[in-house]
Amino acid sequence: MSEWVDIAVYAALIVAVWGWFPVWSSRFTIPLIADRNPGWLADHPESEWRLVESRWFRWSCLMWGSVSLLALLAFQFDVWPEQLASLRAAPQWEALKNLNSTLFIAGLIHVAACAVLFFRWLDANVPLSSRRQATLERRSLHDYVPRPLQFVGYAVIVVHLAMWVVVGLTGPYATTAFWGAMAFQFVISGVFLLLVITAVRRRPGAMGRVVGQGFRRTEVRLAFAAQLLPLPNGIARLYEQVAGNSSQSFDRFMHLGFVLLVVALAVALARSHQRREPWSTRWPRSATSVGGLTLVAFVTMTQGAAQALPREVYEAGNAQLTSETREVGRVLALVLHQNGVDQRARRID
Amino acid sequence: MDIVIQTNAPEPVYEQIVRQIHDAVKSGRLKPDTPLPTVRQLAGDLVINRNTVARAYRILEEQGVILTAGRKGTFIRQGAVREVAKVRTSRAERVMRRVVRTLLGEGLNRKEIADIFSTALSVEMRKG
Repeated sequence: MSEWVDIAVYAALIVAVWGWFPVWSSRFTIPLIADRNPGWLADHPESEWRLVESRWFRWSCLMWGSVSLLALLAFQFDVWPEQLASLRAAPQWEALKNLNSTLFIAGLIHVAACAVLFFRWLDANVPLSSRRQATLERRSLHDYVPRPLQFVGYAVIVVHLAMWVVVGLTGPYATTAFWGAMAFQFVISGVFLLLVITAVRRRPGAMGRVVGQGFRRTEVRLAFAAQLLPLPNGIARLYEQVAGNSSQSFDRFMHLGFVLLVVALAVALARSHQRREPWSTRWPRSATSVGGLTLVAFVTMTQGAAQALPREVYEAGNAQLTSETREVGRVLALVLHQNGVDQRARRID
Repeated sequence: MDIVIQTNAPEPVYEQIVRQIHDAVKSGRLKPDTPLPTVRQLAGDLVINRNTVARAYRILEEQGVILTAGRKGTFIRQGAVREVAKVRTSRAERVMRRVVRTLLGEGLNRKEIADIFSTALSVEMRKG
């Protein structure tokens, strides 16, 4: 398969995440403020105008998307600086994947930093409203995902993790690399479980108010389904550990498939938003879903990047895995913060 | 069903929660066996201290309006409507006794107090 297919898939991701996401999320600024203190906007029309007119976030993301695309093309056309020639050690598709993942993670860090700055500004400038509202309906996972489906989903995850433990304890594969890979599977499953819990527990916010009651249902179901995403990769890694060979073409197809899934979901969300809400030019359907999708993309790419390393590097790379896991946690925390999981934030539903 | 609180109101937040749950039970919006949100959920949604919600729930439980069933959560109790009515009656009685005590202290007699009460009731009822 030509590397141009990889480039096309990454280009679609870049357009979706760095082209479309910032436009969508920046429309969410005003509802977020209104959610915190509806009266503040009326008292500060100049600030509202300034926020609505602000374009620097969109432009910075667009610029990063352009840089990412140009870097991928430069690599493909072999117009690549000598100082970065170490990337060439891997096969072309793998080098493209690593390059794309690195650029993507850097972009996500930029988005996270912007989110932190925005929420700090919000905390400092927009006082919390004294009037607050909440539902008296209890929220639980059972309200959104049928129990049999929960049982099947979690059974599959437990069986997957148990397979790692059993193989590790009974087979002759208990190397440092094996235990590192197993720990990574546990951590990644934990992160996705945390995502589900957060989706259920998080305080209703601007998204729910703008989009309606169906928003959380979609969000929770998406988060629940996302828990199954690490499974194919985990099973492939387990096979790799047991068989002792690397299933690189499988990795490549799985990675590209996942990136396409993220792009398709992003497009579907945008289209459904436009279909349901003719006034959507100003109010976005969801920032959480995009945050969730971006996180999923980030986690999988990080995982993929870590595991696509040459075997000897991979075996010596447990420390790197740990640091990437920490990075996942950090970005997750930022996404959660962006979605209102902060005791200091406030909602007016 | 939603609950609305005002943090700068003279009425303490926990009393606002108790009062609104009473209202919901009395009006039938919260029926017996309806699960209530957890303390963590309600406190998080209202961005208030968990102890405030816990205090409101404790009062409601003491009044026999809600029932906490361990890990299953908190529910509206069977007979909660009757308990709410009882609580309201006893609160009204307390207020009335305080007023009567004040009026007696002012030197008014039984008939005068009854007339005042009757007039005040007519006026307020007319206001609707």
